Amino acid sequence: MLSRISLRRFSVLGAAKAAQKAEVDWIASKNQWSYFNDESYVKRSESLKLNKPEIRESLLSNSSESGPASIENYSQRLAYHSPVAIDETFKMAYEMLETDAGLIYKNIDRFRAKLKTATDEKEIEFLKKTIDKLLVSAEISNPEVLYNATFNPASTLDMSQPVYRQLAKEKWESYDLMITMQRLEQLHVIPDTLPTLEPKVDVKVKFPHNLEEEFSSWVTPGEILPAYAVAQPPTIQIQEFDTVESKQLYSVLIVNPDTPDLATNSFSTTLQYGLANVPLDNVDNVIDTKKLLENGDKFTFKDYVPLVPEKNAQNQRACLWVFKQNGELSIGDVARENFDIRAFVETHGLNAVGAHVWRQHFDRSVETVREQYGLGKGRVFRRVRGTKPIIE
Amino acid sequence: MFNPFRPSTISGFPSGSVVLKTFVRGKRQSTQSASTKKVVNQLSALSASRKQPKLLNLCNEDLIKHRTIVNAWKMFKRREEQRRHNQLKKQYKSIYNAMEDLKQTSPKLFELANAKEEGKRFPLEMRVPTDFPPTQPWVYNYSPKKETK
Repeated sequence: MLSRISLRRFSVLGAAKAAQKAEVDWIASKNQWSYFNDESYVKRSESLKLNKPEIRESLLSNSSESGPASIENYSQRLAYHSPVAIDETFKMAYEMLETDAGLIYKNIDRFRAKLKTATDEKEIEFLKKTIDKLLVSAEISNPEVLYNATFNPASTLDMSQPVYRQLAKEKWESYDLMITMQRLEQLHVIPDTLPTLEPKVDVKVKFPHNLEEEFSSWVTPGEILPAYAVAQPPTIQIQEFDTVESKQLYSVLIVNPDTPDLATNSFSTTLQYGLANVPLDNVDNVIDTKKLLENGDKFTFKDYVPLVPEKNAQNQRACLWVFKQNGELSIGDVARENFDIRAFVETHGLNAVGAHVWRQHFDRSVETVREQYGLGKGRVFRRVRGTKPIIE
Repeated sequence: MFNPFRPSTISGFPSGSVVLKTFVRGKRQSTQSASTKKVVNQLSALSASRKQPKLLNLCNEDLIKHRTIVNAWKMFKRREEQRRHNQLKKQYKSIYNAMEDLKQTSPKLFELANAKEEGKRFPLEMRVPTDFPPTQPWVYNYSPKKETK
């Protein structure tokens, strides 16, 4: 009995010693990329691990006899040959980069300690920004992170990690942002609705009530959609790339600047949808049906009415604008017709951070959608011969 | 023997003189060998894109491995460059300090050291200035080149 107790005591002491030794070992070896959560000195998230274990195995250990795990076809896998000496070289490179990352983590640790004692608001902000930057540089050359960011869809990445946000931002800037800005300018959303846009967030729109794949996936900016495909309010994803600590409030407007105005022989702007005070952050970044069912009344200050272009009217643009709010807004009753978006933005001190656009024209489903929303029968426009001759 | 790098000359004529085309009776004989001709014919039947070197198709893991290796190489080069830059900075600083020192101790020598030498040209026989000293720093039994007549 006595021996058992003493043995136990010994083992407890041993564990404490082992933990201490592990920490010392960590500082000595600095191989941070191999540890996650509790084992790690700096608490690295589990999401920085490659999410497929067999691929992780074949990436980090030498290529096995059975070939790379990312090739699913058996015969293709057997036929594949890796470049000469890539494994040995990779091992050297990995060790080098990991040591560097360890040093950066040590720096991060120092900054975190400073942050704990800091009191000045400016200093705190600076320290937080520096820590974020260091966290990116510590992980950006980690092959596991690179693999996840390159080959896994963006929706599966853990956006609470600064490094994934940085990689997602690079991807967005290289294609989606350019497409969005091109369409906004070509379709004259800028400056017909707001004078300009400095894009900060990735705005994606989809209409999940559609059953066809064509209309249920994310809408490419500028696409022409039929009325039935936009009959229900859209799901809007607002991906922020900077760190959002607590929830940030956003507002969303959908306006149609192409409503025919017969009295002035011109067009007027109509407010189709208005959301305000929507709290979002880096991870929880979608305004979807679930959120609208739960808190829709709180967010919505103007119900969604889809664009229903009448017959022979030209293409109409549904311009979606996303704004960052400085604080909570109290928006009273806003008229749908003759909506002045510039005045609205000015009065509420909104800051445009993202935009999206799709187009619509008259089609067979317009009448049904009009009925659904109780908009009455649509007009039919036709050319009217003028009273004056064109040539004088 | 045919040498593609030698300027074409025909024996008996000095190089550079105009050679008139002379009439040859019978079938023209090509200078290429039969095997070369075969390869040329085969290549002419292929389109240009086929003749490009093959694109490397790496699997996902190897692509990431490759990128990691490139990252490490870039880091290595960056550090090397940084080290060199720091070294040069130090050297410049020490030159500057030495000159300042000279200015304080002996303004006359300082002026002499900084005097502009008008019309002085770079000595042609001098070794080209390099970052590092040569393997053989001094040639003891040096004699200037003799002029050949």
